[in-house]
Amino acid sequence: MRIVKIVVAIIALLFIGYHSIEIKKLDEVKRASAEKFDASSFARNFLQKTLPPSFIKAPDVGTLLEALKTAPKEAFQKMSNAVAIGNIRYFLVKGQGQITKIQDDEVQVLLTNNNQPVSITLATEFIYGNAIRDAAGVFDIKPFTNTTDINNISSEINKIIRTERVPAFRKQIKVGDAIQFIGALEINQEYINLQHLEILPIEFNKI
Amino acid sequence: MKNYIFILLLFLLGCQEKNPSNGPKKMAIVVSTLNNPWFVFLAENAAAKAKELGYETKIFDSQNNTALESDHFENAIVSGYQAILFNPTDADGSVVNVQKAKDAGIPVFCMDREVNSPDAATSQILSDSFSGSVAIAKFFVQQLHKKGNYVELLGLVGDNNTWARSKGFHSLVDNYPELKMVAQQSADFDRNKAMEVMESILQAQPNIDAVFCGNDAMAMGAYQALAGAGKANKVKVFGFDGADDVVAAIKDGKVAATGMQFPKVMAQMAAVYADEYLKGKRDFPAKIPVAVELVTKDNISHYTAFGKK
Repeated sequence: MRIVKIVVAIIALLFIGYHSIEIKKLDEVKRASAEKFDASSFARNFLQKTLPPSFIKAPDVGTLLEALKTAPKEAFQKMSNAVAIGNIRYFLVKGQGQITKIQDDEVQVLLTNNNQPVSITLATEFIYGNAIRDAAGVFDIKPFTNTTDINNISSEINKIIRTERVPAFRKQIKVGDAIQFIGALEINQEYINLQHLEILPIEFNKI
Repeated sequence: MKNYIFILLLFLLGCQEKNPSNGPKKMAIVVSTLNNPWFVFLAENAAAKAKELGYETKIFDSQNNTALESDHFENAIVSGYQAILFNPTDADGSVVNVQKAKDAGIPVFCMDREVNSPDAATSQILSDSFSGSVAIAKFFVQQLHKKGNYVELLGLVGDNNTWARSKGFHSLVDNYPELKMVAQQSADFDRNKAMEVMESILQAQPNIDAVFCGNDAMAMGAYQALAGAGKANKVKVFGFDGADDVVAAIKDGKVAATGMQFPKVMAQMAAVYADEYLKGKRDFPAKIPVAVELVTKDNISHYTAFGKK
């Protein structure tokens, strides 16, 4: 009789134990948690809906350069944005000009609506980092608790520009063409260098 | 009667310990290790800022041991510290300690390293390791002209920064199929281990063009191994941190680049946030990235170790 009781107790314990825990493969759990946030859809929506209303407020590159030369502190305060704390700040800018050179990784543009000739580089290869995500100041980090999600948003935004918008643009341009663009410009506010201005394009077209 | 008086005294003492408003304002600084100058700098700056804000401070050294870290948290809780400025030992293993403080009503502000919990810490102020590595990766690809063989030395495999740096680097470099990673090994963020690992890799892979290291200590170790093998001039070394010896090595052309972190910014912000919390503010972002800056020979004149001026 005692043996029966022990056997019943063991079976009961095994039954309860089996139904109390769930064993999953670690990589399945990691994959499932990664799938909770769709950075790709967020990025597409960001580029198509969240970001465009800010374009109208973007300063012209020439206007920004003038402000950075005459009152840099104020220019950074009023026109730059960044999610991260620190010296690296981003400006949403617009401009129009003439293509002077087309290289493997970039396109050189001479801005036409300036008092003085200003040459800028439009990046077409190395479109990475947080410039496009942060430049307009419309990305809010507060709802995000996962660092990977925050990083993936930038990666996906850049990927759309790099793999979809840039190839279409490069196909239709040649030296001498007039273009207009909206883009993001990174400047270190502690060590301002206006010699080589590289703008990451967001939207661009021939005019 | 004597017993009653003793119990009453104990009760009163207990109340005093648990009621911080009666005692001095105190912040605890719990740091993963004080055996590394980077973390000493972080801890000292957190303590200095907290003192400036009117708090008594004490620095606790966890010696990279979560059990010791747990003791420090218990000590901080019973000793009436009102906030903990925290540099975790382990992203997963430290969660329970942060939760313990939270349950005791003590806010925890993480500095530089994160814990894998969305809400245990009040806020986590972290170097943007991923983006810093993306900036290094862009320079890496440009320096190698998009092709070559390279080695990656990883940090501690249990640390989130190890993977954030590696993932940031690969998010760009992996788009170039002619850049081939011929070896990837952990050297635990340790200079001597990096030298040994690199020596061993060079036996099997003598034809490499670059080494990407998850921190500066490993970059210096890798450089030593390369110098010993007579390859220091041919192989470009890339680090991460902004340590003093790498800043000097960039000036001398021994190391190609590093990602400059700003421990002072993180430490001071943690102290300021803790002070704001204790004064009633509750609306803090869960994660606050601190920008990492690319440092090369072209801009090295602007920088000194740990981002200091």
